[in-house]
Amino acid sequence: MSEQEKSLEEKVMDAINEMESPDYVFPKRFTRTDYIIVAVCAAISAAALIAGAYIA
Amino acid sequence: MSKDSAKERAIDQEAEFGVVPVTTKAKQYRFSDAFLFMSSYAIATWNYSQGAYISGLVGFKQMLITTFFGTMLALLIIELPVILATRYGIDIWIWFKSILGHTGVKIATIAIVILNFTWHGVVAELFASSFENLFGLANIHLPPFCHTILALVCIFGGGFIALKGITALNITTKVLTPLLILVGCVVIYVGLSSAPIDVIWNYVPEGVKEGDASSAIGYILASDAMIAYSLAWFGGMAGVPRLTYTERSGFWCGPVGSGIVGTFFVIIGAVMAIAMQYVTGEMITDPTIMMATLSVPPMALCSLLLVGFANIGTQATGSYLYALMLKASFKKAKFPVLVLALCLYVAVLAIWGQILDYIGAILSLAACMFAPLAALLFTDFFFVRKQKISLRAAFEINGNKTYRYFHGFNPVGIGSLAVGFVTLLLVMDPVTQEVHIPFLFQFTPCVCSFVATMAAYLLLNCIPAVRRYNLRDRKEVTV
Repeated sequence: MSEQEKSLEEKVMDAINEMESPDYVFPKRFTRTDYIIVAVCAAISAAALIAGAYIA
Repeated sequence: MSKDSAKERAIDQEAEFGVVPVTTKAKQYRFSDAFLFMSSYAIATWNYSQGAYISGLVGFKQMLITTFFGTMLALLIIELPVILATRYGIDIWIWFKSILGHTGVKIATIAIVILNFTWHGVVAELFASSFENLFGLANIHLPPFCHTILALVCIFGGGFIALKGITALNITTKVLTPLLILVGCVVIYVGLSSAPIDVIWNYVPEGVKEGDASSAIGYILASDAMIAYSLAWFGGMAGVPRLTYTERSGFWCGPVGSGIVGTFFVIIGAVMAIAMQYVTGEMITDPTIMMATLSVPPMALCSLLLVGFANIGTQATGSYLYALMLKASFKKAKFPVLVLALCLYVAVLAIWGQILDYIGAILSLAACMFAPLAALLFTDFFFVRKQKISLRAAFEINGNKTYRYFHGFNPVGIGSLAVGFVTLLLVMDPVTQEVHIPFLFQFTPCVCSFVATMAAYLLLNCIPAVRRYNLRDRKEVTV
Protein backbone atom coordinates (compact mmCIF):
# COMPACT_ATOMS: atom_id res chain seq x y z
CA MET A 1 0.00 0.00 0.00
CA SER A 2 1.44 3.38 -1.03
CA GLU A 3 1.86 6.25 1.41
CA GLN A 4 -0.99 8.14 -0.23
CA GLU A 5 -3.32 5.15 0.06
CA LYS A 6 -2.39 4.81 3.73
CA SER A 7 -3.18 8.48 4.33
CA LEU A 8 -6.52 8.10 2.58
CA GLU A 9 -7.39 5.02 4.61
CA GLU A 10 -6.55 7.01 7.74
CA LYS A 11 -8.93 9.74 6.62
CA VAL A 12 -11.68 7.16 6.04
CA MET A 13 -11.00 5.64 9.48
CA ASP A 14 -11.09 9.08 11.10
CA ALA A 15 -14.49 9.74 9.51
CA ILE A 16 -15.85 6.34 10.61
CA ASN A 17 -14.43 6.78 14.13
CA GLU A 18 -16.10 10.19 14.29
CA MET A 19 -19.46 8.67 13.27
CA GLU A 20 -19.05 5.87 15.83
CA SER A 21 -18.53 8.36 18.61
CA PRO A 22 -21.56 8.70 20.92
CA ASP A 23 -21.29 12.51 20.62
CA TYR A 24 -21.58 12.49 16.82
CA VAL A 25 -24.64 14.33 15.53
CA PHE A 26 -26.02 12.73 12.37
CA PRO A 27 -27.82 14.89 9.78
CA LYS A 28 -31.44 15.56 10.66
CA ARG A 29 -33.38 12.36 9.96
CA PHE A 30 -36.18 11.72 7.51
CA THR A 31 -39.23 11.73 9.79
CA ARG A 32 -42.39 9.66 9.75
CA THR A 33 -44.18 12.72 8.30
CA ASP A 34 -41.64 12.84 5.47
CA TYR A 35 -42.33 9.19 4.64
CA ILE A 36 -46.09 9.84 4.71
CA ILE A 37 -45.70 12.82 2.33
CA VAL A 38 -43.63 10.68 -0.06
CA ALA A 39 -46.18 7.84 0.11
CA VAL A 40 -49.09 10.22 -0.57
CA CYS A 41 -47.27 11.84 -3.52
CA ALA A 42 -46.40 8.39 -4.93
CA ALA A 43 -50.01 7.20 -4.51
CA ILE A 44 -51.34 10.32 -6.28
CA SER A 45 -48.83 9.80 -9.11
CA ALA A 46 -49.80 6.12 -9.47
CA ALA A 47 -53.52 6.96 -9.45
CA ALA A 48 -53.02 9.71 -12.05
CA LEU A 49 -50.99 7.36 -14.23
CA ILE A 50 -53.74 4.70 -14.10
CA ALA A 51 -56.50 7.27 -14.69
CA GLY A 52 -54.52 8.71 -17.60
CA ALA A 53 -54.96 5.47 -19.53
CA TYR A 54 -58.71 6.19 -19.75
CA ILE A 55 -58.43 9.82 -20.81
CA ALA A 56 -59.45 10.44 -24.40
CA MET B 1 4.72 24.58 -2.76
CA SER B 2 6.65 21.90 -0.84
CA LYS B 3 6.43 18.27 -1.88
CA ASP B 4 4.65 17.35 1.38
CA SER B 5 1.97 20.02 1.12
CA ALA B 6 1.36 19.11 -2.54
CA LYS B 7 0.86 15.50 -1.49
CA GLU B 8 -1.46 16.58 1.31
CA ARG B 9 -3.47 18.68 -1.13
CA ALA B 10 -3.72 15.72 -3.50
CA ILE B 11 -5.02 13.55 -0.66
CA ASP B 12 -7.54 16.24 0.36
CA GLN B 13 -8.76 16.43 -3.22
CA GLU B 14 -9.15 12.67 -3.41
CA ALA B 15 -11.08 12.81 -0.14
CA GLU B 16 -13.31 15.53 -1.51
CA PHE B 17 -13.97 13.50 -4.64
CA GLY B 18 -15.79 10.69 -2.98
CA VAL B 19 -13.53 8.28 -1.14
CA VAL B 20 -13.97 9.57 2.38
CA PRO B 21 -17.39 9.64 4.08
CA VAL B 22 -18.60 13.23 4.42
CA THR B 23 -19.22 13.86 8.12
CA THR B 24 -21.87 16.33 9.33
CA LYS B 25 -19.40 19.17 9.90
CA ALA B 26 -18.04 18.81 6.34
CA LYS B 27 -21.44 19.03 4.63
CA GLN B 28 -21.99 22.10 2.49
CA TYR B 29 -25.35 21.89 0.66
CA ARG B 30 -28.67 23.37 1.65
CA PHE B 31 -31.74 22.25 -0.28
CA SER B 32 -31.47 25.22 -2.67
CA ASP B 33 -27.85 24.35 -3.57
CA ALA B 34 -28.64 20.67 -4.11
CA PHE B 35 -31.77 21.53 -6.10
CA LEU B 36 -29.85 23.88 -8.41
CA PHE B 37 -27.17 21.22 -8.96
CA MET B 38 -29.67 18.48 -9.80
CA SER B 39 -31.69 20.83 -12.02
CA SER B 40 -28.58 21.84 -13.91
CA TYR B 41 -27.88 18.17 -14.59
CA ALA B 42 -31.47 17.57 -15.70
CA ILE B 43 -31.74 20.50 -18.13
CA ALA B 44 -30.21 19.54 -21.48
CA THR B 45 -31.24 19.05 -25.07
CA TRP B 46 -32.06 15.40 -24.30
CA ASN B 47 -35.32 16.64 -22.75
CA TYR B 48 -36.53 17.90 -26.13
CA SER B 49 -35.74 14.53 -27.74
CA GLN B 50 -37.63 12.78 -24.93
CA GLY B 51 -40.56 15.22 -25.30
CA ALA B 52 -40.73 14.66 -29.04
CA TYR B 53 -40.52 10.86 -28.55
CA ILE B 54 -43.44 10.87 -26.07
CA SER B 55 -45.44 13.15 -28.40
CA GLY B 56 -45.05 10.52 -31.11
CA LEU B 57 -46.71 7.91 -28.86
CA VAL B 58 -49.59 9.69 -27.09
CA GLY B 59 -51.77 12.78 -27.29
CA PHE B 60 -50.97 15.99 -25.40
CA LYS B 61 -53.08 15.27 -22.29
CA GLN B 62 -51.65 11.78 -21.87
CA MET B 63 -48.20 13.20 -22.56
CA LEU B 64 -48.58 15.58 -19.61
CA ILE B 65 -49.68 12.73 -17.34
CA THR B 66 -47.02 10.18 -18.34
CA THR B 67 -44.27 12.79 -18.32
CA PHE B 68 -45.00 14.31 -14.94
CA PHE B 69 -46.60 11.53 -12.93
CA GLY B 70 -44.55 8.69 -14.48
CA THR B 71 -41.32 10.49 -13.61
CA MET B 72 -42.46 11.47 -10.13
CA LEU B 73 -43.72 7.99 -9.27
CA ALA B 74 -40.41 6.40 -10.28
CA LEU B 75 -38.21 9.04 -8.65
CA LEU B 76 -40.15 9.08 -5.36
CA ILE B 77 -39.54 5.35 -4.98
CA ILE B 78 -36.07 4.79 -6.41
CA GLU B 79 -34.58 7.88 -4.74
CA LEU B 80 -35.78 7.05 -1.22
CA PRO B 81 -32.57 5.17 -0.32
CA VAL B 82 -30.48 8.31 -1.01
CA ILE B 83 -31.15 9.24 2.59
CA LEU B 84 -28.31 6.77 3.33
CA ALA B 85 -26.00 9.04 1.32
CA THR B 86 -26.85 12.00 3.54
CA ARG B 87 -26.76 9.99 6.76
CA TYR B 88 -23.39 8.29 6.23
CA GLY B 89 -21.93 10.78 3.71
CA ILE B 90 -21.30 8.00 1.19
CA ASP B 91 -22.36 7.18 -2.35
CA ILE B 92 -24.95 4.45 -2.89
CA TRP B 93 -22.21 2.45 -4.62
CA ILE B 94 -20.40 2.09 -1.32
CA TRP B 95 -23.63 0.59 0.09
CA PHE B 96 -23.96 -1.62 -2.98
CA LYS B 97 -20.74 -3.41 -1.94
CA SER B 98 -22.80 -5.09 0.76
CA ILE B 99 -25.39 -6.23 -1.82
CA LEU B 100 -23.30 -7.18 -4.85
CA GLY B 101 -19.83 -7.66 -3.35
CA HIS B 102 -16.76 -5.52 -4.12
CA THR B 103 -16.13 -6.98 -7.59
CA GLY B 104 -19.84 -7.07 -8.38
CA VAL B 105 -20.02 -3.30 -7.80
CA LYS B 106 -17.03 -2.69 -10.05
CA ILE B 107 -18.70 -4.56 -12.91
CA ALA B 108 -22.07 -2.90 -12.31
CA THR B 109 -20.60 0.62 -12.36
CA ILE B 110 -18.63 -0.06 -15.54
CA ALA B 111 -21.75 -1.48 -17.22
CA ILE B 112 -23.72 1.60 -16.15
CA VAL B 113 -21.11 3.93 -17.58
CA ILE B 114 -20.98 2.02 -20.88
CA LEU B 115 -24.75 2.01 -21.24
CA ASN B 116 -25.94 5.18 -19.57
CA PHE B 117 -23.14 7.60 -20.26
CA THR B 118 -24.14 7.30 -23.92
CA TRP B 119 -26.73 9.98 -22.99
CA HIS B 120 -23.78 12.36 -22.87
CA GLY B 121 -22.87 11.36 -26.42
CA VAL B 122 -26.39 12.44 -27.40
CA VAL B 123 -25.97 15.73 -25.54
CA ALA B 124 -22.70 16.41 -27.41
CA GLU B 125 -24.32 15.50 -30.76
CA LEU B 126 -27.30 17.78 -30.16
CA PHE B 127 -25.00 20.56 -28.98
CA ALA B 128 -23.04 20.32 -32.25
CA SER B 129 -26.18 20.16 -34.45
CA SER B 130 -27.76 23.14 -32.73
CA PHE B 131 -24.64 25.24 -33.12
CA GLU B 132 -24.42 24.28 -36.80
CA ASN B 133 -28.03 25.43 -37.20
CA LEU B 134 -27.31 28.63 -35.32
CA PHE B 135 -24.39 29.41 -37.62
CA GLY B 136 -26.63 28.44 -40.55
CA LEU B 137 -29.17 31.07 -39.49
CA ALA B 138 -26.39 33.64 -39.75
CA ASN B 139 -25.58 32.29 -43.24
CA ILE B 140 -22.32 30.77 -42.05
CA HIS B 141 -22.14 27.20 -43.31
CA LEU B 142 -19.62 25.16 -41.39
CA PRO B 143 -17.72 22.28 -43.05
CA PRO B 144 -18.77 18.76 -41.84
CA PHE B 145 -15.68 18.20 -39.67
CA CYS B 146 -16.76 21.15 -37.48
CA HIS B 147 -19.63 19.00 -36.20
CA THR B 148 -17.20 16.67 -34.42
CA ILE B 149 -15.11 19.58 -33.18
CA LEU B 150 -18.18 21.27 -31.68
CA ALA B 151 -19.18 18.00 -29.99
CA LEU B 152 -15.67 17.70 -28.53
CA VAL B 153 -15.86 21.29 -27.24
CA CYS B 154 -19.01 20.35 -25.33
CA ILE B 155 -17.46 17.16 -23.93
CA PHE B 156 -14.12 18.55 -22.83
CA GLY B 157 -15.60 21.91 -21.76
CA GLY B 158 -17.85 20.01 -19.35
CA GLY B 159 -14.97 17.75 -18.27
CA PHE B 160 -12.83 20.81 -17.52
CA ILE B 161 -15.47 22.27 -15.18
CA ALA B 162 -15.91 18.86 -13.51
CA LEU B 163 -12.17 18.72 -12.84
CA LYS B 164 -12.36 22.04 -11.03
CA GLY B 165 -14.51 20.27 -8.46
CA ILE B 166 -17.54 21.08 -6.44
CA THR B 167 -16.82 24.82 -6.00
CA ALA B 168 -16.70 25.47 -9.75
CA LEU B 169 -19.80 23.32 -10.23
CA ASN B 170 -21.63 25.28 -7.53
CA ILE B 171 -20.89 28.60 -9.23
CA THR B 172 -21.88 27.20 -12.64
CA THR B 173 -25.16 25.73 -11.42
CA LYS B 174 -26.12 28.81 -9.35
CA VAL B 175 -25.74 31.11 -12.35
CA LEU B 176 -26.95 28.73 -15.03
CA THR B 177 -30.03 27.05 -13.59
CA PRO B 178 -32.16 30.16 -12.84
CA LEU B 179 -31.30 31.54 -16.28
CA LEU B 180 -32.26 28.28 -17.97
CA ILE B 181 -35.59 28.10 -16.14
CA LEU B 182 -36.29 31.71 -17.19
CA VAL B 183 -35.48 30.94 -20.83
CA GLY B 184 -37.61 27.78 -20.54
CA CYS B 185 -40.60 29.96 -19.55
CA VAL B 186 -39.99 32.22 -22.56
CA VAL B 187 -39.73 29.20 -24.86
CA ILE B 188 -42.98 27.64 -23.64
CA TYR B 189 -44.72 31.02 -24.09
CA VAL B 190 -43.43 31.16 -27.67
CA GLY B 191 -44.63 27.59 -28.29
CA LEU B 192 -48.09 28.18 -26.81
CA SER B 193 -48.58 31.44 -28.70
CA SER B 194 -47.50 29.94 -32.04
CA ALA B 195 -50.35 27.48 -32.35
CA PRO B 196 -54.00 27.72 -31.18
CA ILE B 197 -54.24 26.32 -27.67
CA ASP B 198 -56.90 23.76 -28.71
CA VAL B 199 -54.55 22.42 -31.42
CA ILE B 200 -51.94 21.69 -28.77
CA TRP B 201 -54.46 20.49 -26.15
CA ASN B 202 -56.23 18.12 -28.57
CA TYR B 203 -53.07 16.94 -30.32
CA VAL B 204 -52.99 13.21 -31.15
CA PRO B 205 -50.02 11.67 -33.02
CA GLU B 206 -50.56 10.43 -36.55
CA GLY B 207 -51.56 6.77 -36.85
CA VAL B 208 -52.95 6.64 -33.29
CA LYS B 209 -56.69 6.42 -32.78
CA GLU B 210 -57.96 7.21 -29.32
CA GLY B 211 -59.51 4.24 -27.58
CA ASP B 212 -57.98 1.51 -29.77
CA ALA B 213 -55.12 -0.90 -29.07
CA SER B 214 -52.45 1.34 -30.62
CA SER B 215 -53.45 4.09 -28.19
CA ALA B 216 -53.21 1.75 -25.17
CA ILE B 217 -49.81 0.38 -26.25
CA GLY B 218 -48.60 3.92 -26.93
CA TYR B 219 -49.67 4.99 -23.42
CA ILE B 220 -47.86 2.05 -21.80
CA LEU B 221 -44.73 2.64 -23.90
CA ALA B 222 -44.81 6.36 -23.02
CA SER B 223 -45.20 5.57 -19.29
CA ASP B 224 -42.37 3.03 -19.48
CA ALA B 225 -40.18 5.50 -21.37
CA MET B 226 -40.66 8.10 -18.62
CA ILE B 227 -39.98 5.53 -15.89
CA ALA B 228 -36.82 4.48 -17.77
CA TYR B 229 -35.94 8.21 -18.12
CA SER B 230 -36.17 8.53 -14.32
CA LEU B 231 -34.18 5.36 -13.78
CA ALA B 232 -31.39 6.89 -15.86
CA TRP B 233 -30.70 9.27 -12.93
CA PHE B 234 -30.09 6.29 -10.64
CA GLY B 235 -26.32 5.92 -11.17
CA GLY B 236 -25.40 9.41 -10.01
CA MET B 237 -28.34 10.13 -7.72
CA ALA B 238 -26.38 10.08 -4.43
CA GLY B 239 -23.44 12.29 -5.40
CA VAL B 240 -25.21 15.46 -4.26
CA PRO B 241 -27.30 14.16 -1.30
CA ARG B 242 -24.13 12.99 0.46
CA LEU B 243 -23.20 16.66 0.80
CA THR B 244 -26.56 17.94 2.12
CA TYR B 245 -27.21 19.00 5.71
CA THR B 246 -30.46 17.09 6.17
CA GLU B 247 -31.92 13.84 4.84
CA ARG B 248 -35.03 15.75 3.72
CA SER B 249 -32.95 18.06 1.48
CA GLY B 250 -30.91 15.11 0.23
CA PHE B 251 -34.03 13.27 -0.84
CA TRP B 252 -36.17 16.08 -2.30
CA CYS B 253 -33.43 17.64 -4.43
CA GLY B 254 -33.80 14.63 -6.77
CA PRO B 255 -37.58 14.49 -7.36
CA VAL B 256 -37.81 18.31 -7.51
CA GLY B 257 -34.62 18.95 -9.50
CA SER B 258 -34.56 16.01 -11.89
CA GLY B 259 -38.30 15.37 -11.65
CA ILE B 260 -40.19 18.65 -11.73
CA VAL B 261 -37.61 20.82 -13.53
CA GLY B 262 -36.50 17.98 -15.85
CA THR B 263 -40.06 17.13 -16.88
CA PHE B 264 -40.87 20.84 -17.36
CA PHE B 265 -38.26 20.84 -20.12
CA VAL B 266 -39.57 17.55 -21.55
CA ILE B 267 -43.01 19.21 -21.76
CA ILE B 268 -41.43 22.28 -23.39
CA GLY B 269 -39.91 19.94 -25.98
CA ALA B 270 -43.29 18.36 -26.66
CA VAL B 271 -45.14 21.71 -26.91
CA MET B 272 -42.51 23.06 -29.30
CA ALA B 273 -42.56 19.88 -31.39
CA ILE B 274 -46.38 20.05 -31.70
CA ALA B 275 -46.25 23.79 -32.49
CA MET B 276 -43.57 23.13 -35.13
CA GLN B 277 -45.73 20.44 -36.68
CA TYR B 278 -48.65 22.88 -36.81
CA VAL B 279 -46.56 25.68 -38.35
CA THR B 280 -44.23 23.75 -40.68
CA GLY B 281 -45.85 20.30 -40.98
CA GLU B 282 -42.69 18.76 -39.57
CA MET B 283 -41.95 17.67 -35.99
CA ILE B 284 -38.60 19.35 -35.35
CA THR B 285 -36.97 19.11 -31.92
CA ASP B 286 -33.96 21.37 -32.33
CA PRO B 287 -34.53 24.40 -30.05
CA THR B 288 -32.50 26.65 -32.34
CA ILE B 289 -34.76 25.99 -35.35
CA MET B 290 -37.84 26.08 -33.13
CA MET B 291 -37.02 29.52 -31.76
CA ALA B 292 -36.06 30.93 -35.15
CA THR B 293 -39.21 29.56 -36.82
CA LEU B 294 -41.77 30.18 -34.10
CA SER B 295 -40.39 33.51 -32.96
CA VAL B 296 -38.07 36.02 -34.62
CA PRO B 297 -34.61 34.78 -35.74
CA PRO B 298 -32.73 36.79 -33.07
CA MET B 299 -34.67 34.79 -30.48
CA ALA B 300 -32.69 31.77 -31.69
CA LEU B 301 -29.85 33.32 -29.73
CA CYS B 302 -31.83 32.39 -26.61
CA SER B 303 -31.22 28.83 -27.60
CA LEU B 304 -27.51 29.54 -27.13
CA LEU B 305 -28.29 29.31 -23.44
CA LEU B 306 -30.41 26.21 -23.87
CA VAL B 307 -28.06 24.27 -26.11
CA GLY B 308 -24.72 25.81 -25.30
CA PHE B 309 -24.43 26.43 -21.62
CA ALA B 310 -27.08 23.89 -20.63
CA ASN B 311 -25.33 21.04 -22.42
CA ILE B 312 -21.89 22.00 -21.17
CA GLY B 313 -23.38 22.28 -17.67
CA THR B 314 -24.88 18.82 -18.03
CA GLN B 315 -21.59 17.38 -19.26
CA ALA B 316 -19.87 18.97 -16.25
CA THR B 317 -22.29 17.75 -13.59
CA GLY B 318 -22.64 14.34 -15.27
CA SER B 319 -18.87 13.86 -15.51
CA TYR B 320 -18.54 14.81 -11.85
CA LEU B 321 -21.31 12.47 -10.65
CA TYR B 322 -20.21 9.50 -12.75
CA ALA B 323 -16.54 9.94 -11.85
CA LEU B 324 -17.69 9.96 -8.22
CA MET B 325 -19.61 6.74 -8.83
CA LEU B 326 -16.55 5.09 -10.38
CA LYS B 327 -14.38 6.43 -7.57
CA ALA B 328 -16.59 4.61 -5.06
CA SER B 329 -15.76 1.33 -6.81
CA PHE B 330 -12.19 2.02 -7.90
CA LYS B 331 -10.84 3.88 -4.91
CA LYS B 332 -7.25 3.79 -6.16
CA ALA B 333 -8.08 5.52 -9.43
CA LYS B 334 -7.44 9.27 -9.46
CA PHE B 335 -10.47 11.52 -9.91
CA PRO B 336 -8.97 13.48 -12.88
CA VAL B 337 -8.12 10.19 -14.61
CA LEU B 338 -11.72 9.03 -14.22
CA VAL B 339 -13.11 12.32 -15.59
CA LEU B 340 -10.71 12.09 -18.52
CA ALA B 341 -11.70 8.47 -19.18
CA LEU B 342 -15.38 9.46 -19.22
CA CYS B 343 -14.66 12.35 -21.59
CA LEU B 344 -12.67 10.08 -23.89
CA TYR B 345 -15.48 7.52 -23.94
CA VAL B 346 -18.00 10.19 -25.00
CA ALA B 347 -15.45 11.63 -27.45
CA VAL B 348 -15.22 8.21 -29.17
CA LEU B 349 -19.03 8.19 -29.44
CA ALA B 350 -18.96 11.71 -30.90
CA ILE B 351 -16.29 10.81 -33.46
CA TRP B 352 -18.26 7.68 -34.38
CA GLY B 353 -21.21 9.99 -35.03
CA GLN B 354 -24.02 7.43 -35.06
CA ILE B 355 -25.06 7.39 -31.43
CA LEU B 356 -28.45 9.00 -32.19
CA ASP B 357 -29.41 5.95 -34.31
CA TYR B 358 -28.73 3.49 -31.48
CA ILE B 359 -29.57 5.48 -28.37
CA GLY B 360 -33.10 4.06 -28.06
CA ALA B 361 -31.87 0.47 -27.96
CA ILE B 362 -28.96 1.31 -25.66
CA LEU B 363 -31.21 3.10 -23.19
CA SER B 364 -33.71 0.27 -23.22
CA LEU B 365 -30.88 -2.07 -22.27
CA ALA B 366 -29.80 0.39 -19.56
CA ALA B 367 -33.32 0.28 -18.12
CA CYS B 368 -32.96 -3.53 -17.87
CA MET B 369 -30.11 -2.91 -15.44
CA PHE B 370 -31.42 0.11 -13.57
CA ALA B 371 -34.84 -1.27 -12.63
CA PRO B 372 -33.41 -4.35 -10.80
CA LEU B 373 -30.56 -2.34 -9.27
CA ALA B 374 -33.00 0.25 -7.92
CA ALA B 375 -35.19 -2.55 -6.53
CA LEU B 376 -32.22 -4.23 -4.84
CA LEU B 377 -31.10 -1.03 -3.13
CA PHE B 378 -34.64 -0.16 -2.02
CA THR B 379 -35.31 -3.64 -0.62
CA ASP B 380 -31.92 -4.02 1.02
CA PHE B 381 -31.97 -0.57 2.62
CA PHE B 382 -35.50 -0.74 4.04
CA PHE B 383 -36.27 -4.44 4.55
CA VAL B 384 -33.09 -6.52 4.66
CA ARG B 385 -30.16 -4.55 6.07
CA LYS B 386 -32.63 -2.08 7.61
CA GLN B 387 -30.56 1.09 7.09
CA LYS B 388 -27.34 -0.25 8.64
CA ILE B 389 -24.13 -1.55 7.04
CA SER B 390 -20.62 -2.14 8.22
CA LEU B 391 -18.71 0.90 6.99
CA ARG B 392 -15.40 -0.78 7.87
CA ALA B 393 -16.27 -3.70 5.59
CA ALA B 394 -17.48 -1.41 2.80
CA PHE B 395 -14.19 0.52 2.87
CA GLU B 396 -12.14 -2.67 3.50
CA ILE B 397 -10.47 -1.09 6.52
CA ASN B 398 -7.49 -3.17 7.70
CA GLY B 399 -8.15 -5.64 4.87
CA ASN B 400 -11.71 -6.41 6.03
CA LYS B 401 -13.08 -9.07 3.65
CA THR B 402 -16.70 -9.32 4.84
CA TYR B 403 -18.15 -7.93 1.61
CA ARG B 404 -15.88 -10.04 -0.57
CA TYR B 405 -18.44 -12.91 -0.38
CA PHE B 406 -17.68 -15.42 -3.17
CA HIS B 407 -14.63 -14.18 -5.12
CA GLY B 408 -15.90 -10.61 -4.79
CA PHE B 409 -19.52 -11.39 -5.76
CA ASN B 410 -22.56 -11.74 -3.52
CA PRO B 411 -24.60 -14.55 -5.17
CA VAL B 412 -27.76 -13.42 -3.33
CA GLY B 413 -27.69 -9.94 -4.83
CA ILE B 414 -26.43 -11.05 -8.24
CA GLY B 415 -29.09 -13.81 -8.42
CA SER B 416 -31.90 -11.35 -7.61
CA LEU B 417 -30.51 -8.92 -10.18
CA ALA B 418 -30.62 -11.69 -12.78
CA VAL B 419 -34.28 -12.44 -11.92
CA GLY B 420 -35.21 -8.80 -12.57
CA PHE B 421 -33.21 -8.67 -15.77
CA VAL B 422 -34.79 -11.88 -17.13
CA THR B 423 -38.29 -10.74 -16.09
CA LEU B 424 -37.95 -7.57 -18.14
CA LEU B 425 -36.78 -9.57 -21.16
CA LEU B 426 -39.69 -12.01 -20.72
CA VAL B 427 -42.25 -9.18 -20.67
CA MET B 428 -40.87 -7.27 -23.66
CA ASP B 429 -37.90 -7.24 -25.99
CA PRO B 430 -36.36 -3.86 -25.08
CA VAL B 431 -34.64 -3.46 -28.45
CA THR B 432 -37.47 -4.40 -30.85
CA GLN B 433 -40.22 -3.43 -28.35
CA GLU B 434 -42.02 -6.70 -29.16
CA VAL B 435 -44.44 -7.55 -26.33
CA HIS B 436 -44.19 -11.17 -25.08
CA ILE B 437 -46.58 -11.16 -22.10
CA PRO B 438 -49.40 -8.64 -22.73
CA PHE B 439 -50.90 -8.98 -19.22
CA LEU B 440 -47.64 -8.01 -17.48
CA PHE B 441 -46.87 -5.40 -20.14
CA GLN B 442 -49.84 -3.37 -18.81
CA PHE B 443 -47.85 -2.72 -15.63
CA THR B 444 -44.85 -1.56 -17.75
CA PRO B 445 -41.71 -3.72 -18.12
CA CYS B 446 -39.67 -1.57 -15.70
CA VAL B 447 -42.24 -1.97 -12.91
CA CYS B 448 -42.43 -5.76 -13.51
CA SER B 449 -38.65 -6.01 -13.32
CA PHE B 450 -38.59 -3.89 -10.14
CA VAL B 451 -41.23 -6.02 -8.41
CA ALA B 452 -39.65 -9.34 -9.52
CA THR B 453 -36.22 -8.31 -8.19
CA MET B 454 -37.74 -7.16 -4.93
CA ALA B 455 -39.67 -10.42 -4.51
CA ALA B 456 -36.64 -12.57 -5.38
CA TYR B 457 -34.35 -10.74 -2.94
CA LEU B 458 -36.91 -10.87 -0.12
CA LEU B 459 -37.71 -14.55 -0.72
CA LEU B 460 -34.02 -15.51 -0.81
CA ASN B 461 -33.55 -13.70 2.48
CA CYS B 462 -36.36 -15.76 4.01
CA ILE B 463 -34.12 -18.85 3.73
CA PRO B 464 -32.17 -18.91 7.03
CA ALA B 465 -28.83 -20.07 5.56
CA VAL B 466 -29.00 -17.50 2.75
CA ARG B 467 -29.99 -14.77 5.18
CA ARG B 468 -27.04 -15.62 7.46
CA TYR B 469 -24.70 -15.51 4.45
CA ASN B 470 -26.09 -12.24 3.11
CA LEU B 471 -26.17 -10.60 6.54
CA ARG B 472 -22.73 -11.75 7.65
CA ASP B 473 -21.91 -8.14 8.51
CA ARG B 474 -24.38 -7.76 11.41
CA LYS B 475 -21.78 -8.15 14.16
CA GLU B 476 -19.59 -5.54 12.50
CA VAL B 477 -22.25 -2.84 12.28
CA THR B 478 -20.96 0.00 14.44
CA VAL B 479 -22.80 3.06 13.15
